[in-house]
Parts: sequence; C-alpha cells; structure tokens
Amino acid sequence: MTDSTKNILVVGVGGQGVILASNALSEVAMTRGFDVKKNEAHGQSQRGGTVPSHIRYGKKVYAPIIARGEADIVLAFEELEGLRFAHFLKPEGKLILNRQRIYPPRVSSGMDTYPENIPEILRQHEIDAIEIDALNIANKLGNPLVVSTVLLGALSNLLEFTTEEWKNVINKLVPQKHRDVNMEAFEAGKAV
Amino acid sequence: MLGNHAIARGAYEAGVNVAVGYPGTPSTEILQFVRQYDDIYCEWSVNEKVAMDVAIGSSLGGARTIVVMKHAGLNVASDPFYPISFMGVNGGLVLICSDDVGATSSPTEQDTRIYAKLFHIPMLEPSDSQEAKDFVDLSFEISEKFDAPVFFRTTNGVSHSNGIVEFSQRVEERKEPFDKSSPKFRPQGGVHPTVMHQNAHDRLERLEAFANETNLNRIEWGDKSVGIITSGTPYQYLKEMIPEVSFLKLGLTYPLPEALIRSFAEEVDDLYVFEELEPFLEEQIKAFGIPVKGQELRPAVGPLSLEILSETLKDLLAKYGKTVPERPNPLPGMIMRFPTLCAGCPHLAIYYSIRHAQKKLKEKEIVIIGDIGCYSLGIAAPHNMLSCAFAMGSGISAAHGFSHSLQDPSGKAVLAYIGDGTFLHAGMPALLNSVYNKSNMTLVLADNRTTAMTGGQEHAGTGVTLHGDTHPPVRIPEIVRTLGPDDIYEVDSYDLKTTSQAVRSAIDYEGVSVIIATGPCRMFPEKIKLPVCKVDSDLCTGCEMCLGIYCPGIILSGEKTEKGKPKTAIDPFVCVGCSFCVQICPTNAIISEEGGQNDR
Repeated sequence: MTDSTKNILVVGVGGQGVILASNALSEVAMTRGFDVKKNEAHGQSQRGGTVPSHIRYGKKVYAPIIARGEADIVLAFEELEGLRFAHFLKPEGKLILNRQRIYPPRVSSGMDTYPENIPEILRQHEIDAIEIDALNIANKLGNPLVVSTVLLGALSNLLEFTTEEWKNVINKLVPQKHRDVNMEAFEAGKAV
Repeated sequence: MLGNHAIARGAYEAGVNVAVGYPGTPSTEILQFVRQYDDIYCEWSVNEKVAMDVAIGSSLGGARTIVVMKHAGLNVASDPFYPISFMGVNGGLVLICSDDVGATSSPTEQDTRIYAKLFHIPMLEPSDSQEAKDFVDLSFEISEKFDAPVFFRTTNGVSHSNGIVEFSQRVEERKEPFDKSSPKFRPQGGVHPTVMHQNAHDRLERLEAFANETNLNRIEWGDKSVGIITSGTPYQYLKEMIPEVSFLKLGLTYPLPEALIRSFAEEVDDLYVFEELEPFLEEQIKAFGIPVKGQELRPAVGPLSLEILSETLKDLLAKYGKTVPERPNPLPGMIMRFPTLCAGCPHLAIYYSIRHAQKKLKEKEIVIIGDIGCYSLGIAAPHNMLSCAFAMGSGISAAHGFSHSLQDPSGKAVLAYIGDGTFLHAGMPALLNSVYNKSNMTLVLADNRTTAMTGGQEHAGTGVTLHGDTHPPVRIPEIVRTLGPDDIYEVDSYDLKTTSQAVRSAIDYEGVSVIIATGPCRMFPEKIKLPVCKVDSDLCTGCEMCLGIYCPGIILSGEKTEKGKPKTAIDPFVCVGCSFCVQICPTNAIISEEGGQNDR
C-alpha cells in the first residue's frame, strides 16, 4: 500500500456511464483495502450537463474533491469534457481521451462551435493523452453500452490493480446477462 | 457510501420510526434511501412546512422522527419549527437540512446555520459519510436528553460525497405518546411563551456545558504554533493540506464550546477559523474576546476548496516544506455545456406556444414571473422566457402584485408560470389570493405529472406515495375550478394552435385566467420514447423555425440550401418522438415516423 493518495477524475456527459465507471474504480480500490472518497455532481447534471466524478484513494483520504493540477489521471468519456478537465492533471499526469463527441444543444443549433481539433490542442499544451475510440470498440462487440467498461480496461493499464480484481468488481456491478460482453469489453480496452 | 445514503442508514440505526420531507438538491436522496427500510414510515409531504408539522405530530406520538429538506425548504418550514424549538419534544426530533453551497441547483445560496441561533437549538455538522451516519444517532440522544429538536446540517460537500462507512445495529427507541394534559405544548394555555423562551435559554446553557465535554468537539494536537478551528468539509480539506498543525474540530457547532475554544486558543500561537459562507463561528469566537483570523482569508460565497485554501495559506504551507502545486488554467477553445430542457420536454412546447402568442399580440408585452422547477431553466438563454423566479409558489402572487402595481396595464400581459409539483406545494393559496383579490393575470400551469427537477419524485398529483402506495391522484383542474377563477382552459401541452389561442384569449380576459397545459415529463417517472421524427432534407428550406423550439434533438444537418442556408436534421438518439416540431415546419419537411404530417 502506498502512502500517497491517487487522484482520478472521471468526466463525461450524463448517461454515458461515468457513474458506473467511478463506482467500479472506488470498489476496486476499497476491495484492495484503500480508504476511498468520491464526489460527483448531482442535480442539474441530469439535464445534459457535464458530469465530473472525483475519486481519491490511498491509506487515509480526507478531501473528497481533486484540486486543479493534482489529478494523476483524467478519464474522459467525451472529447470536449477531456478538454474541459485536462488542466486538472499534474504535470506528469495522463489523460485517457475517448474519441467520442456529444454535441451540446447550443452547438447542434449553431449557437456555439464545437472545437474541431481537441487532440491537437491537448498536444500543444503538452497533455499526455492516450486516445481510444471506445464507442467503436463497444459497437464491434455488439453493445454500445459497454463504452464504460472499455474505458475501465484502458484505465486499468495505469493503475496497480490486477485484471482479476477489476473483473470481480465489474461482474458485481453489471447485470448477469451482460457479464460476458463486459469482460470482452474490459480486455479490449486493456489491449489499446 | 454517499453522504445522503449514510444519513438514511443512520436514521435506520437510530431507530427512527417516521421520516418525512420534501425533495430539494442536495437533500433529495436521503428519503429515497430511507424508503428501503421497511421499519420506517416515510413520506414526501406536500411542502416543507407540512412536513415539519407531520414530524412534530410524530414526535408528540413518541416516535423518533427525521424531517428532511434543503436550505430553501427550511425557510418554508421555519414557522412551525420556531415554537416547537421552544416547547421541546417527546420522541426525538431531528431536522436534517442540506445547504446547496455554490447554488448548483438553487436560486439562492444560503447559510442555514444562523437558524440554530434563532431557534435556540443544538446543531450538528458531519464532515464525511461516516460522521453523517454516526451523528444521526447522536442527534437523537441529544434531542431526547435536552428536550430539544436537533438541527443536523449538511452541505453538498458531505451529502454528495462518498466515503467508507462502518455500520451498527438498529436500536429500537420509542416513547409513549405525550401526556395530553401536560402544559408543555400549550403556549398561553399551559406555559407562557416568555417562559418557554427563558427555558430555551436555560437549555442552551446546559447544552454549552455538554459541548465542552462531548467528543463531537475534539482537539487534535499537532504543532502548537498554529491552531485551526473548523467543521464540515473544510476540516477535510485542511487536514489533507496541513495535518501537522493543531485542530479543534467541531461536530456540535451550536452552541459553541466556549471553554474548549478558550483553552485551545490559549495553547496555540496563531488561531484560524475556516468555515464556508457566513462567519458564523468566527463572529461568536470574536464575541468571546478571542482574536482569530478567518474571513479575511477566504471568500464569503461558494464552497471552499483545496485550491482556495492552499492559495490563502501558501506561506504557512511553506513553513512545513510544502509547495502549492501549479494551478493550470483551463485550456483554450472550450465551450460550456449548460444544463438544458430535455428533448421533447413539454415546457419547450409551451414556451414556444407562448412566444407564438406574443407574435400575434403586438400591442401587449408578455411578462412572465416564473417559479421553481425544470422550467426555471427558461430564465436563461436561449429561452429568456422568465423575467423573474425566486421561491416555490411565489410566481403567482408576484404576478398578482405586479398586475396591481401597473399604472398603465394596457401595454402589459402579466403571466405566472408554474408546474404541477410546485403548484401543489405552495401555489394553491397564491391562486386563491389572486382570485379573492381580483387580479388581472394569467396563470400557465404546466402539469407534467411529476416533480421533475429533483429527479421525478412522487407527489399528490401522481397518486403514488414515497412508500409506493397508490391511490387516485388529486385532479389539478378540479382544484383550480374550486379556487374560483372564471376563465379556465385545459390544453394539451404539445398542441401549438390550441395553447397559443388559449394564451391570447386568457390575456384578453379581464380577471384571473388559468391555462392548464398537460403533457407528461419525458424522463420521469419513466422515459417515454415514441417513434422519432425526421427531416426530409429535400423539403427543408433552412428557415430555422424548428430551431426556435430549442429542442436538443433538432440539430444542423451540415447540408445547405441553394441559397446557402443551413438545413436542419433530427438526432434519432436524442429525439423522443413528441412530434411538436411537426406542427412548426412551414414546408411540412418534418415527418413523424408514424407517417403523420402536421396531423396533431
């Protein structure tokens, strides 16, 4: 067990599975015996807003929210949300960027412009980003709802937990009939 | 475990028999989690004052009782809470109130701690999920020992954070019903209110002695050159940042433990107090004659954070060899993702119909005073429908007052806009008042059959209780008729022509008009997804009228007309098939997949 606290910020848009992923991560860390704190926005995030979920684990964790410049990992379910929260990373932190775009209504109706070149903006600001097309992978597996598990697979490469620990937790959190596809999704994400 | 879940678990373990309240962020989940415990009777009351009255009755009956609400709700419930605070309790009574610090989903930011002082009652503030659970049981011990309701106050930082929680067993605690001949609960008849007031002051003295001894308030000694007095989430932030110094961590934040604070202050060189919002602790500590730094080091609004505290305490952190990490700025090119009314939301349709009516009513300017609910999002761009909205049920009376104040009413059409949940909460007396005092206004009552803003809670108009019992729902049109307005319209929220016509007729009518627009919420209690609509690109002329609904399902297709105008499309994943837009399109380019064209 390490002394320092790990800070993981999971971000996305309501309905994408951010909460499921952050629950899985908290559970894995808790099962390993870490102290865990988590905070997520409630209320208006259900109305198409941004959903940030802060997870912190370590020997003893006090604050429930990660400060700017202190996240070890930002796991972004959506490009714009990756851009929005990239500055939470430590200088040596890593961004996992799902190449999915969900246009805010103001973009769809022409009132705002969605930034076209997010990976490029990230590179210019020296953000270390791992890009992944989790929706495409999930669709190939025949279930677009497993995006969240694909991304957990990608996240697992950066954390200290074993594949078995992850799979045990995911099995507990997903409905029985979707277990197999979630296991495949996890492996597919891990292979990226 | 979520802080709010831990509070529910705490209520279960404390042997709570009755749990009542009204939904409101960030408190809503507490009663939703309580519902899972069969040993607890629970209900959504129709408003917070009623919930408080139910809770008081339950305490008289001998049950351990919690009453749950958000900060704004406590303003509503304060009327009955004030006398019961002075009278005392029978079964333990705990008010659980969550402040939306940062106003993430509220028209106001408010520090309710000041109420503890007003009510002369003890206040407990947990700082994490474990304390959130444990403090419920302690609240009941204090309530029954000191014969006082207890104020259990949380903020979003506690209510919406998760931490590991260890459970205990449920204890069964229930008192006999109160002695109906006792003078205690009979102000004027039994005990004079001034005597009750004196008793409350005497009780505070006993509570202060308790505050000095209880381990709810504890000193964590560290380096004595710095002492920090704090409570709630700020404690967690500070402990994280600078665990080396000495802490006086307060769990019982009213009345303050003067002797304990004094002895702590004497032992440390530099004394700080950190709290969110008002200088509630600070002013009292200063009133003890103890110099302390606080307000000048922090903002008076919004939640505290590691960013804010590390910046303000930079020099102190440096003393302990800590450097504050760089706080990078957001990256460029970012755009906001605002909360929005959902695709197919009936409010979008009604708002469109009101704008449609305004176009035809050139001589009068419509002014809408709104209320609290999803439609409050209509106060912002792009809707800009509501000119004012401030408290539950208040829009109707404000519209009434506005209409009476106009020197020249001829140029204005005064509307109030309210949803079913809020109407049943506090809108009924307001409508009665408008009728009784002969208003000239129009109420648009949008009935979507749920409490949508807070996540689709049940209410009297749904016929389902928090407990899951069902009974015939109250009929809102009948309530409206009974309250007495002469000019009533019942329309389908999605029927543009009829709704727009009703708005115009209602405005023409001298007196109180009510338009009851009915159309179900598309999200709660369950999602409604009908066959989606689509745009026939060949017929789309790029007039953009459909974009004027501001429905998230209607998007730019990327194609252009010959004249270079952008054509629209409908996102099939977002569209829920309400087909309101079919009525808008002047060229019949939008078709419902069921085959209908302008067929509503």
